[in-house]
Amino acid sequence: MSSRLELKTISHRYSDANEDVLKDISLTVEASQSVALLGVSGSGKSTLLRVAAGLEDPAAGQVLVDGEDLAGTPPDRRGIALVFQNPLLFPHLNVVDNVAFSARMAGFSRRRARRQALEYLDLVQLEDFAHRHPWQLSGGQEQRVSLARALARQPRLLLLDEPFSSLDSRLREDMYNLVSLIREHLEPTIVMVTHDRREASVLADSIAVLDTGRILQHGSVPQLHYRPDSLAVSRILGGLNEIPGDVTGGIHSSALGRVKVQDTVDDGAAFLVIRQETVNLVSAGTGVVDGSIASIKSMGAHTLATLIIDNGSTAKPAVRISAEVVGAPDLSIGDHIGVDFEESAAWAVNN
Amino acid sequence: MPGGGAGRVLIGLLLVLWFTLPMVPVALWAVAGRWHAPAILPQTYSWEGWSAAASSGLFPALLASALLGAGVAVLATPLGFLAAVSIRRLPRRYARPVEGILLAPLAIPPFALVMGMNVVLLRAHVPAAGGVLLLLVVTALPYTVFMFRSALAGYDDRFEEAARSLGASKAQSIRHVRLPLLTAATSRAAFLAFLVGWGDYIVTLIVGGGQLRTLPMTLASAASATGNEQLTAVLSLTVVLPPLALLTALLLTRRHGRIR
Repeated sequence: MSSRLELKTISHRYSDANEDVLKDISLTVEASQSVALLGVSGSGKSTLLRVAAGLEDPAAGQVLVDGEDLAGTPPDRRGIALVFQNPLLFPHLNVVDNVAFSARMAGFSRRRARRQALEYLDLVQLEDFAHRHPWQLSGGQEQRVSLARALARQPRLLLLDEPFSSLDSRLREDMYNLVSLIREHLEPTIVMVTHDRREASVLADSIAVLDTGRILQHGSVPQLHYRPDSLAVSRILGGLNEIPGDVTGGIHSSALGRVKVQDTVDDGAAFLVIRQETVNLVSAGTGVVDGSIASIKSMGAHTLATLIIDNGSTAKPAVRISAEVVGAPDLSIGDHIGVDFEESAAWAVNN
Repeated sequence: MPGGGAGRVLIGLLLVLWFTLPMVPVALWAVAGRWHAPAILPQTYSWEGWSAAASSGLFPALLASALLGAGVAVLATPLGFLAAVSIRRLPRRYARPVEGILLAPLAIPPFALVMGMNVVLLRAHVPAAGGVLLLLVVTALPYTVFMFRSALAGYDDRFEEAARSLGASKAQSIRHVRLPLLTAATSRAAFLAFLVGWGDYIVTLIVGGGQLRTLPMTLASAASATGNEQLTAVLSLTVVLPPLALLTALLLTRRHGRIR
């Protein structure tokens, strides 16, 4: 049940809007791969799913599944199942009949449709809830049923539109495990929309970052985190460090001094983006640069410390660098301390 | 809620009493033979109220009221649905005034509406029965529009989109998703519209010009004469009981979700 999805130069505009919500988007998802569309709300990511599902006709561009152009194919003939943020279980049907819906629509007998539905309920570990009504389920159970219902359609492509965003963090972890289990068993091609970079990293093989209707970058999870194409991608992936400076011949000069960065960056103004997770705190004078601690924030098992760099530079505003370190180091605001990072962690972007 | 569980039960019981108490003397009169003050209960019982009602045109009146109620329901329910759908699709700044106009009949005293419209209907040579039906449909519209408005407010179009992405054709998604989800609102709207026709007096009296002998008309003429307590009580019961039975039936038939 897995196919290759190819979106080619898709543009779209809603009739009541004065700007395109999707601008010339191209994206390929190989069979059995899972791609996350990551972006803030309003970035067009849900619209892209609706276009793929056939619920929205794009103003321009093509949706190809296994090379077949789906223009003019109605949503019910596409073999693409969409799971919404809201589970949308049909309230007039019980759980098993919700899951049996697609088989019934395809003309199978109630008996056969239910038998098949029970297999999928078993997969999401809700076979005991088959005869309950949707309103008797918890939010997490509803979303499981919704997932089972979509899978029972045996779709070529599974689209997930922020399906776990309304669940609490523990249920969300359960759902992540469930999705992994489903990927193991059924190997579906998945395109999921999320605004949660952690969710995207956990569930997807690759991430496409969307911003105001464009794909800024599509790449593997580590690539997006450690080698972003732009400041915008770095920010969307949660990168905190943006040290202004200039690049000449692969060397970035800034308040941090001269740091070797990738060769591919253009000469001229550039920001050094070093993931806060790769920055270490060391004794003053032993690292790349020294600074004084401006803020300390607990991240649970980690601590985020932000330093104001003091190397005699009078740059305004003061240059800051953040380090996310394991545990709760014994630090206070104003402490003078050094920061260090591996040369390989340094990465520069021109904009 | 103040008072917790016990308080709630008490308030519930008081409400039930509030609604049923006035019906007790009516029910007793309907089967009373002789009942003079200061007796608390009737001194004798008889069915003469019922035979009097039968001979004073109870059955044709029942039929006329039922037909009028059904007619109003059949017209006002789909109109209410269409109006509610249109309001929902309109941009907000147009939706508000349209909704206001549709709800306006609630704010106008029925008597004023009827007196005004009577003149228009007479001049336009609209037949009495047609005029009554027309006015009552207008009176019922606010109720049906309101019913569908609230049902559609809670209705998520994405149910149908989910159905489509699960392989249902447009027609299948309407038949297996939209219609079942709006069944409850439809029956409630139709019930309210039916009540408007069933219980109407003023419009039937003035616009109908005495040609339509509905149940409330028969009841009013019995009530205006003296010494007709039994007959009046029987007619009152026949006005009250059928809608109550209908309401009970509506509440009891919980539609079981099945894909046919």
